[in-house]
Amino acid sequence: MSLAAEQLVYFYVPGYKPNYIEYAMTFYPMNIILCLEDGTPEDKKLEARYVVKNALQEFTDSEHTLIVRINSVHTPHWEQDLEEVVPQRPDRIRLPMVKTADDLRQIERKVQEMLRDLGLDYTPSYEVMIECCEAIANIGDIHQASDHIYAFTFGGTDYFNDCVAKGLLDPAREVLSAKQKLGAYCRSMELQCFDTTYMAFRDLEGFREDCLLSREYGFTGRSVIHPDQVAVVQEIYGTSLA
Amino acid sequence: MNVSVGSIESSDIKIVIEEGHPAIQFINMVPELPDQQVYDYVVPLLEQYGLAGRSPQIWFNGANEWVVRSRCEALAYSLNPVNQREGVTG
Amino acid sequence: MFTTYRLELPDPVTLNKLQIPVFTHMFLQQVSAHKVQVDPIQGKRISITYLSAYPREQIEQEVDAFLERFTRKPNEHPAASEEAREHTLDVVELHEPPLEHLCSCCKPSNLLNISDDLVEQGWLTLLKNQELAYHRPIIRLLEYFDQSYVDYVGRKIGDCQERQYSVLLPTAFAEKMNYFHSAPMHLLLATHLSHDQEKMLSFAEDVSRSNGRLPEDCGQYLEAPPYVLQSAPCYKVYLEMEDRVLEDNTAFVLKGQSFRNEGKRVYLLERLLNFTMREFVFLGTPDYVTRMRDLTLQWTMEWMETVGLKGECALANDPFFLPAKVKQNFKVPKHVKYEVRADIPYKNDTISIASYDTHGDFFAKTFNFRLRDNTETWSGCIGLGLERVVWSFLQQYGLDHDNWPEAIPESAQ
Repeated sequence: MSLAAEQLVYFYVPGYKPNYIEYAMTFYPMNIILCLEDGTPEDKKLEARYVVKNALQEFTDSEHTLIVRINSVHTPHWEQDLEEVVPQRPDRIRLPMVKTADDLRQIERKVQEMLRDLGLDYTPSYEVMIECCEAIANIGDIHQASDHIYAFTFGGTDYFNDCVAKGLLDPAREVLSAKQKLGAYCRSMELQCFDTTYMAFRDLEGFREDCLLSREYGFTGRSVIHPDQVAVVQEIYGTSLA
Repeated sequence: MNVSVGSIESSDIKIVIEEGHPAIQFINMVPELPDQQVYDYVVPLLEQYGLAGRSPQIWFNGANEWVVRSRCEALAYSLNPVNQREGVTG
Repeated sequence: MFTTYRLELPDPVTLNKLQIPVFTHMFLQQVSAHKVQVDPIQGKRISITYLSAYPREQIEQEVDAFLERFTRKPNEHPAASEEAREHTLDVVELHEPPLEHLCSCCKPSNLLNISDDLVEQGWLTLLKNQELAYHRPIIRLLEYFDQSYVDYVGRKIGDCQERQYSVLLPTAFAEKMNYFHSAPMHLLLATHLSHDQEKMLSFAEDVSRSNGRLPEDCGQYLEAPPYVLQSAPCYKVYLEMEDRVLEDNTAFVLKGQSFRNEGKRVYLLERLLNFTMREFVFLGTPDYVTRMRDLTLQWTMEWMETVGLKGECALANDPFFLPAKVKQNFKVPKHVKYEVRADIPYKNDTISIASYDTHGDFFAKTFNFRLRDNTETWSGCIGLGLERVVWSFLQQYGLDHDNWPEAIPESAQ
């Protein structure tokens, strides 16, 4: 069975580039992630916030699922990101670098406060990014911290960097091990689980192999950065394991 | 003080507020649009955000209204003395 | 200001990656739209953006007409059978250049779009009507890349005859080589006012009535264009060589301005109406022309390595000179054009900065130049677009000299 892109593919668009956002709107229905975090340089974060806010208003009736990746709670940007974005009711909010249950609770408190103050009849779902060793160790607690988690997603580059920073001997192996743990956890909890971006977008064979392994681990979809990767994701994650 | 938002990429608008700049300045990068039409489209939006009187320099490359608004909002936020005093950026 | 709507392309039309730019270009030439975007994943859906003041029904009619022409099968064309009779190109299979080895594996250090930096740092000024003013840093880079290319490749070629020509291509000459069939959408023509006194007076009155503006209906005052603004400088070589006998294989080196009507696609240094091309032209035996193809592509790659420019060679599919209709038997290679493409990192894409076209005997027969003792005579040329070289270099390394490859001398900074 092959599932549609809207169920499997998560297409990243830099939040500070309105022309890229408009281009993504021409695609067939899929999940579009408007990125305020790593896809937006530091000196563009303020502009990006308003581009994404206005894009959510402009494309509110779009056939796409619009997800906003805000900045991490460990940065000075996250609160203002939520203040501009939440009133526009994005379909989901992707939360990077969640390390502990308290990180998630902090975000939820802020969101609930805003919803109360604005009288909004809306509750966002979250896609929680697991990007460091601490997060994997706390996965159960993080899951318990909110009733509104739609999926966990894996951030491979940051996880790798965390392993390097901790002086772990084989960061590549640690990344695979973390993916296995996350995939297994999500499978056992019947949660959606999305794998990390594959930056070498021209290497479609390598991407295909990576997707096959990822699917075995329990991942149910994938973030992509290039249109050429979409068909591979649909093909691999859209078919059930034998 | 020199504040800039946006870009000259396709479907965008770039607005620069430069201290001491004498007058509003427009470069229309869309050949099929008369300059006056672009001016009449963008200036009212700048006025809504209190930017028209600050002699902005504008490069217009076909931005839709939602994009112009985004850029104006970001610029207005940056120029707000409260935000500058508090050092709130990015 | 703008309205956007979406449309599914009619079956069985599906656009692949290579077709999308051609489709987009033709669409914008023929439809009064501001922008058209094709869904890159399935290639079946397009988004059309047009000025809101323009009547929707008018746009839809233009789009329908365009799609009808675009999707028309060849045997549905009324003149197709006539064309087929006239189309007598004798396609020659040549060995292909080793594309897998033709690459420049430098490591660009910049991943962001430098467009805004160019304006903010005063390297170029945007003028009205999409005109540009290049400032000193751009001028220096244009000069440097041109000179270093000529020095590197020219030295390897050896004896080259130097030429410089005007940009005006006589219309009669262009007609002879079926110029107006091959790429009419790129045409830019040069003409002048009629010498008829009455028409001149009428023109002057018209201008006066409209406060100095050019009359909307200028056509009535103008002569049929005696010139085309050339799309490549090399045509003048064939003009010069008309009816000549060549003693031996001959190479030419020249630089000139090229003109291509790019309409709405003009963008900074990436796509210009008027740009500078450095060319080497080769006239001689098929073996010589083909050998120079392989060698100059290789040398161009080597040159790119020396200046730090990352790129590769690829087969291209828009030979600029081949006409739709031909009335004579010409020999042309199966693969006419090979491009040199430089990386544009922020876009995860490449742009064409140079190409080698192997013309077969098309120009030699059309203009009757030949080698002594009537040996089969071919021509070929490699043209490097200098503005695009500068553009791709700056996109790969940014504007900060500290990040530039060491090979770039102080004089170019």
